Amino acid sequence: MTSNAIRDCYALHATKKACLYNQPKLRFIMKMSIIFCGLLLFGLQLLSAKSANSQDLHRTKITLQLNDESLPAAFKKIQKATGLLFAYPSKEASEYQHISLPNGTRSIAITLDSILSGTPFLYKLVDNNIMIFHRKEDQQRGEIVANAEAEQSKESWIEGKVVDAKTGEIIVGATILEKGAAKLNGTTSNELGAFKLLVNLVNGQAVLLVRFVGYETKEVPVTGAGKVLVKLETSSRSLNAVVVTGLYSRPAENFTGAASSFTKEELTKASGNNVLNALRSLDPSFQMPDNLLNGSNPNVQQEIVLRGGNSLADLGTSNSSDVFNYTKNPNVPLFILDGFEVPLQRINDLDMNRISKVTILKDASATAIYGSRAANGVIVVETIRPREGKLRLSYTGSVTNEFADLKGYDLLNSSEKLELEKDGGIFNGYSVPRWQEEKDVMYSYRKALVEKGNNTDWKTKPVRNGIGHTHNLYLEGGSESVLYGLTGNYNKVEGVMKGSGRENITGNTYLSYRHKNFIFRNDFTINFTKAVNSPYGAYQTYTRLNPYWSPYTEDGKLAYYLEDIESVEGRVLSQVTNPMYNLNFNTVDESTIQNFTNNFFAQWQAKEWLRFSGRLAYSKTNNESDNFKPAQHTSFDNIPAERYYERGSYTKGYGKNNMIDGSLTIDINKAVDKHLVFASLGSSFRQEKFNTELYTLIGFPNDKLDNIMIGNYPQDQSPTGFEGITRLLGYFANISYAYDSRYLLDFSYRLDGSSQFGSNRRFAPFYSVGAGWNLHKEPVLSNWNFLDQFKLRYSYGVTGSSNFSSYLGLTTSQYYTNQDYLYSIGTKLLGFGNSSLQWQKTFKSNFGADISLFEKLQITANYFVEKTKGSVISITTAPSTGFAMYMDNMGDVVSKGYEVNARYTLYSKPGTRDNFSLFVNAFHVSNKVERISNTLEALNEKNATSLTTQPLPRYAEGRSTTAIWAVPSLGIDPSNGKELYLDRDGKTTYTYDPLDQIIVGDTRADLQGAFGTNLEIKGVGLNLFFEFRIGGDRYNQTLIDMVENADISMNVDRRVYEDRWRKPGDKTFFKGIVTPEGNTITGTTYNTSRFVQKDNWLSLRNASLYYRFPNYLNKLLGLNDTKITMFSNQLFWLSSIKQERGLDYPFSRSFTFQVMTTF
Amino acid sequence: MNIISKYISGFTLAGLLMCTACSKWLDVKPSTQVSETEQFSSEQGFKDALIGVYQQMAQSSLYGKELTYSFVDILGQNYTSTVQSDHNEFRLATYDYTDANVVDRINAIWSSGYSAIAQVNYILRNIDKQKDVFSGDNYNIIKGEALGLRAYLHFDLLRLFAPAAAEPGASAIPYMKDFTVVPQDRLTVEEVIQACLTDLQDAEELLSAYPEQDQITAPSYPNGDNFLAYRQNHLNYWAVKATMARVYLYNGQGDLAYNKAKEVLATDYFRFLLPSELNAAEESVDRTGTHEHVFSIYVSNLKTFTDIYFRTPAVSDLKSQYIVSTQRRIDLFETSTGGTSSEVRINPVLWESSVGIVYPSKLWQEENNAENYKKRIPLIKLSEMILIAAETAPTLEERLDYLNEFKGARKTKLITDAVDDDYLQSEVAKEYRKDFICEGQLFYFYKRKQYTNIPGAISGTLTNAQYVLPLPQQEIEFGK
Repeated sequence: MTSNAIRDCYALHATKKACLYNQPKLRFIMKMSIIFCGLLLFGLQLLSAKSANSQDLHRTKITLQLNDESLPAAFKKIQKATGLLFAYPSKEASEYQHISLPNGTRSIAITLDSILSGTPFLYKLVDNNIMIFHRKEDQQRGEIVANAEAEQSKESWIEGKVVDAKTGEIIVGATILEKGAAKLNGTTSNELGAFKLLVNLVNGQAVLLVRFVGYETKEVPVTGAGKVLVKLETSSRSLNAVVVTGLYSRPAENFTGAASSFTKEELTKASGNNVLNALRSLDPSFQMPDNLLNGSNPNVQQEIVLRGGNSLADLGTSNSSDVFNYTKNPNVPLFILDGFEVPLQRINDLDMNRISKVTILKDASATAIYGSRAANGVIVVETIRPREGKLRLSYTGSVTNEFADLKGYDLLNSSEKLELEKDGGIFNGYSVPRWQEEKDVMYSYRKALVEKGNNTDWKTKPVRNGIGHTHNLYLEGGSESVLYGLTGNYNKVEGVMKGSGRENITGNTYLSYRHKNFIFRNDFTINFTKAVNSPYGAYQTYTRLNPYWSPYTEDGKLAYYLEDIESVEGRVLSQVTNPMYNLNFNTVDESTIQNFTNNFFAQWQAKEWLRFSGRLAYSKTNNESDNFKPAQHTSFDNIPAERYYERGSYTKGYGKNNMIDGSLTIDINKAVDKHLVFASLGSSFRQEKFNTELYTLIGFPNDKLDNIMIGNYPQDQSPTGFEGITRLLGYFANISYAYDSRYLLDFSYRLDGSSQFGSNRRFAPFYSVGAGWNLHKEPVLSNWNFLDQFKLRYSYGVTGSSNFSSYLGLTTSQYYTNQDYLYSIGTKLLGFGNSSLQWQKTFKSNFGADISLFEKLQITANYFVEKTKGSVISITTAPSTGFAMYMDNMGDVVSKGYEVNARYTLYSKPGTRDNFSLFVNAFHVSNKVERISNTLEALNEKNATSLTTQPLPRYAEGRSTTAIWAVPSLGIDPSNGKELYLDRDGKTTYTYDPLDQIIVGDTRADLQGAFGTNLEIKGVGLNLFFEFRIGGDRYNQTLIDMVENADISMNVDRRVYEDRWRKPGDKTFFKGIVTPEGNTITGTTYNTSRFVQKDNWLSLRNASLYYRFPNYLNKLLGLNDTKITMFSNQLFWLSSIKQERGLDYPFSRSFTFQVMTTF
Repeated sequence: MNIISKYISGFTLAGLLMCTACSKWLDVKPSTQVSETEQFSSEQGFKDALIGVYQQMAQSSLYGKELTYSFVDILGQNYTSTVQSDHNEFRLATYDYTDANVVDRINAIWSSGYSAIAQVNYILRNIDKQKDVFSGDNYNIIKGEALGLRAYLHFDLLRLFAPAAAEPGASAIPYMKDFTVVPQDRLTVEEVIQACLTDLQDAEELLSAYPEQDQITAPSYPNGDNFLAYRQNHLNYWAVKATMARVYLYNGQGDLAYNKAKEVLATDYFRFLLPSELNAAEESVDRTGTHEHVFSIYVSNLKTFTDIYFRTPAVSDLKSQYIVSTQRRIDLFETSTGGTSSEVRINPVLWESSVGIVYPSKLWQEENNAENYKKRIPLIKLSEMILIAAETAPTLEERLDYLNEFKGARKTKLITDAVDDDYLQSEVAKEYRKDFICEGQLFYFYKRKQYTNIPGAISGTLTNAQYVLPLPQQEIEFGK
C-alpha cells in the first residue's frame, strides 16, 4: 500500500481506522480511483475535441424516431444523441406537442429541418450549442443583414479569452454577446475561459459585450484578426458583488441570505492593526463587549457575539483568559479562514494586510450550510492571493503608540486620604487605653509620612506608553499557470502595563499552479506568538495602595514593606508588602503559541457549468506557558521562614492541538434563457484533538535559576489537564435559483454527524429556505430611474451549535488510582453520558431589504427572530439514579432584533477616488427565556437568597437573559444615613432581604451602533468611526465596591471623601461613613437598585487620516501605490457612568502611523 | 453529457462510501477515561467495574465508615462518648436529622449507595450482550455478585430510609433496576423487600456455580489473576444466602430465614473465632475473626480512620472519638455479676484502655499484623447466622441449643436453667449488643424489633422519626 494511497483513502474515506483495518474496502477505493482517473482522461479528450460546426450538422448522422412528442422532448433526444446543447424559448416551444418522425438515420441538419418544419422556429449553431429562435426575428435580422451586406459586411470567427483584470485569473461562464446584432448571438466562456463566436464585421469591425456577475460589463471592439484578451474589472458599484460562504460563492444579487462583506480597503479605513476592531465599527451586529476587568490587555481574548448570541449558557461559565482553554464559549461565532474553521485567537493574531475580504453570515440562508456549528453566525475571512505579473514587493509598516486611559480613576491624595481615615473613625473610639495608644502610634506614623510630602500616584506606577510596531513584506508574481506569494510579518505590541506585550511572527507561502482546467493551490502558514504578562501583576493592587506610602526606602531602593508599624511594646500593628519589590528580581509570566497550517486546494473545471473541488487542511498548534516566582517574591510572605525551602514556585503548562479538515464540493451553474441555477453539493470532515497538561513545582531559592528542574513536587498534588477529541462529518447541498434575476429561491441542507452528539443521535439535519425579489428588475418599475436596487428577501431555517465539551455523550469510567481492593484496582463511573444528547437548534427567520437610490443612498436592513431550543445545560436529577446531574437539551431563548446600515454618498467623482460619504449603522436585540431547566431554577433559588454585592445572574421564564435583579432602593434616609428599601409587599424598610429582589434594569442596549464619515479628496482621506450606545443599564460596581463598601484603610474613590452621608440633613447618594453617634459604619451594602445606572455612551472608536501619493511622486521615488496613514483608537469616550474601568489591566488609546508601498 | 453524469455518480458513490464508515469514526475514545464500549469489550473490564463497586462500598460514606462503625453504630448507641453534649457526634447521637452536618452525611449515604447501585446496573446492562467474552464460571460469578450487590445495597438503604417491615405498605425507596437518569417511583417497603429477594434468588442460582471459599488466605494464582481469591471479600454464594436470611428475618419470615441461616451454618467454610487467635503474637492476631466473615469489605485506607476514632491522639481531643465507658462495658458483659472472664469478646486485644478511657480496638490496624487480618470490616458474620437460628428455629429447645452453641464459642456463661422464649430473645439481644460493636448491625436490630427505648439513648422513646432517615432534599424535589 503506497503512502499516497493511504492519504487518498484518508481523504476520501475520512477514517484512518477503516483504511488500516479494512483492506478490501481500500482495494475497492483504489479501483474506484483508477476508474475515476480513466473517466477523467476520457473527459479531457472530449474537451480537446474540435467543436462541431455547421459542416458537421450536415455530416454527422443520427438515428431518431419520434412518436407524437413535444418539441422540447425532441430537442432532449437530439441532445442525448449528439451532445449538442439546445437553447430555446421554452414556453413557446412547449406549445408544439405533436411531433412525429419515422425511424431512420439522417444528418442532424435534416433531422432538425424536419422537426421544425411545422413550427415558426429556425435554428442556428453557436459554438457547440444549437440556438432555436423565432422565424419573425430572423426576418427582421434578414432585413438588417441585407442592409448590412450593403455596407461590406463579412462574417468572421472571433476567438478570445476572459480574465480578471486584477488577478489574471480566468473567468469561466462569462457571457459574450455581439453588440447590435439583430438576433441574439452569443456564447459563454468555457472552462478555460476561452470563447469563440461568429460575428458580422461591419466595416471590418464589431463590438462584443462581455458580462459576468460581480464584474463591470465591458465593450470590446474586435476586428477579427488575432485572439482577444478581455480583462474584466471588478464591479466598482458593488465591490462585494459576490457572497463567499467559505464553501461556495454566489452572486450577491441572487443571494437571499443576510450577509455583509467588507473588503480590505474598507477594513483598513477602520483600523490599522486589528481586524476584529475594524469589524465592530463596520457592522453593528458584530459586538465585542468591553471587558471591564481585563481592559486592553493584549493577551486576553476579547469576547465576541453576533446578534447578541443565542445559547443559554450554564451560569458560572465565563470566558477565561487561559491560553489552554480549548473549549469554546457557547456564544462565540464560527470563524472560517480560507475555508477552514479556526479559533478566534488565529483571527485576532492575523495581520490585516493579509486579509482580502471578510464576510459576516448571519441568517439561516447564509449559515445553514455550516449546520451544527452555525447557530452563532459565521465569519468568513479570506486572505489575499497573488496577482499575475512580474515580481512585486509590497511593504506595510506601522508604529503604534499606546497610552493608558485612566479616566474613571479618581483617587484621593495623601492628605485627603489621611483625613478620611481620621474622619472615618479608624484611629479613635477605643475604650481600652492601650488600644487607643496603638492607634495613636499608627496615626502619627502616617501623619509624619504625609507631612514629609509622600504622595505617591500609584495608579501611574505600573503603566507606560507602549510603542509597538508591525512590518509586513509581501512578494508576489507569476504567470498564467504559476502564481506565487510570499509573506513575512512581524508584529510587536507593547501593552500599557510595564513589561506586558505580545509578539507575533508569521510566514506564509502561497503557490498556485494551473494546468488547462485544473488548478492546484497550496498555502502554508507558520506562526509564532509570544505573550508576556506584566511583572507588576493585577492593576488593582496598585490603585488601592495608600498615597502616603512610598515604594522606595530612604536610600532609594525598593522597600519590602510599604508600612511596618510596631507598637511601643513591639507588637506588629500594620504590615503591608510592596508589590513593586518583586521587580528587584527575575520573574517569568509568559506563554507561547506555535502554529503551522497547510491548506491544499485542487479544482477541476470539468465543464463551464461544472466544477469539482477538494480541500485538505492540517494544522498543529503547540502552546507552552511558564510562570516562575522565586522565593523572594512577596506572595510567599505567608510561608513561615522555617519552611523557606517551600518558597518559590514554577508552573509549567503544555498544550497541543491538532486539526485536520477536508471537503469535496461539486459546483454547478447553469443559465438557460432567463433561468439561472447555482448548485453546490459536497461533504466535509473534520477532526480536532487537544491535550493540555499543567503542573506546579515549589522551592526556588534563586531568581536567576528559573529552571523547573530545580523545584520539588509539592505534597498531594498531581498534574492537571484536559484532553479531548471531536469529529465532525457533514454532507451539504445548496441550490440557488433565479428567474430573470427577479425572483430568487435558495435552499440549503446539511446533514452533520458529530462525535459530540449522543450515540443515539449521531446525525443532525439542518436546512434553510430563502426567497428574494428584486423589485427594481420588474418591468413596471423600470422607468423609476432613481431606483438602482430594491431587493426584498426572507429566509427561514434551522442551524445548530455544538460548543460543548467532547465527551458529554459518552458514559465513561476512571480507575481509582489512590487505593486498591484486594490488590486489584477497579473503575468508577464519572457521569452519565446522555446518549440522546443532541445539538442545540436555532430557528432563524430573517426579513431583509437592500435599497439603493439615486446612486447615492444605500440602505440594508434586517429584522430577525431567532429561537433557540435545547441549549445544552446540566439537569439536576434525583440522586437515587446514582447521579446528581447530567447534560441535556433544555432551555429555550427567543431573541428578536433589527439592524440597519445606511450610507449616503454626498460626492463622488467617477474615474477618481474622490468621494465623500456619511454612514450610520444601528442594532437592537432583545431576548427572553422561554423554558429553563430545573438546575437553573434551583440556582435561581439559591441566587435569590444569597447576600452579595453584585447582582447574580438569574434566568427566569419570560424574562431577558441580561436582566439585572436587585432589591429596589428608595435612597439614603437623610436623617440617619441608612438606606431605605421597598419590600415585596410595597412597604418601606431598613432591612435588606434578598427575596425582595426584582428586575431593576437590563444590560442590553436599546440601540447600539456606529456612525461616521469616509472622505477622500485628491489623495487625502479622512475616516471617522463613532460608536454609540443608547439605553440599557449597568450595575456600577465601582460605586458599591469602591465608594459605598469601600475599605477606607486602603485608597478609595474621591466620592467616598466627598459624597457620603456625614450628618443628619445631608442629602447624599451614598450611605454614611459614621453613624450619628460618630461610630464607623460597618456592615456591607448589598446589591440594590441604587447602583443601577443608565448606560449611554459615545466614543470615537476609530479615526484615520491618510495621504495617497500621486503618480508623479510615486514615479519620482520609484514606488507604486504609496500611502501614509495615521490611525487613532478610542480618541475620546463620553459616558453617562463614572466607573473604574480596566481593574486588572487598564484600557488604552492608541495612535498608529502606517506606511504602505510597493516596489 | 453521459460522462458527466458518471462523474457525478462516482462522486456520490465516494460520498456513500464515506457514510458507511462514518458512524464508527464518530465514536471517539477519551484517553484518560474508559468508555462504556471499550470497558465491556473484555472480561477484565467487567472485573474492573465489579471491583469498582466494592471500592465504592469501601468509601467512608458507605461501609468504609458510616454504615459500619460510625453513623449507624452511633445511632445504635454503641458508644457512650457520642451522647456527651460537647461531642462532635452529639447531634447525630440524639437523632437530630435537621443538623446541617448530619443532613450532609445522610445525603452522602443516599447518593453513594445509589451511585454504587448505578455502577452495578452499568455492569448488568452490558453483561448479557457480552456473554462470549467470559471464561470459566466468570459470567455467572460476576453477574451473580452484581445482582446480589444490588439487593444488598438496596436493602441497607431500605433499613435506613424506610419504616421497618412492620409497615409493609409504607412508602420506601426506589429500587433501581436500570441504568438511567430518569427518577423511578418509590416502592413500598414490601415491594422493595420482594425486589431484593428476587435479585438475591437470581444471584444465588448464578453463584451456585462457584461455592468454594479460600477463607481469606492468599492462594497463589499463577497468572496473577486474583479475582477468585478472598471470596469472603466478595458477595459470594454463601454471603447471598446469609443476606437472604437477614432479609427474611427483617421481613418477619422466620422459617425462611432459619432455612437460609442453617445452610450457611452447615458449611465448613466458616468457623467461630478461637480465643488463641486473639492471644497470639501481634503478627497473627485476628481481631475481627476472619474465619467468621461470610462477607466483609476490604478498606485499603482503614488505618487513617481507625486511628482518628479509636486511638488516643497526640493532642487529646475526645470530642471526635468513639469511646465506650468502663461502666458500659461492665454492664454489657455482666462482668460484675458473674460474666466469665474467659469471654472472648473482652479480650484486651479488642479493648484498648488508656488513661481511664476504653476504646473498642476491634478495627485497629497494626503495622506488624498479617495482611490477611487487616483492612477488613465484617458485613455479615457467622454469628449473625447462628443468632438468626437462635431466634427462628422451630422449637424452643433448638433455639436454646443454637444460643448455647454460640455462647460456648464465645466462652461466655451458658443458659442452663429452663427458660421461656422472652428470656431467650432478650439473651439474643444481648449477644447482638456484644457481638456487632463497630459493625453497624445493632441499630437495624432495634429497628426490626421496634424498640422504643434503646440502651444508651438519651432522648427518650424512639419512633419512626428516629428510625427513618429523611430523604435528601434533592430526592424529594426531583425524584418521584
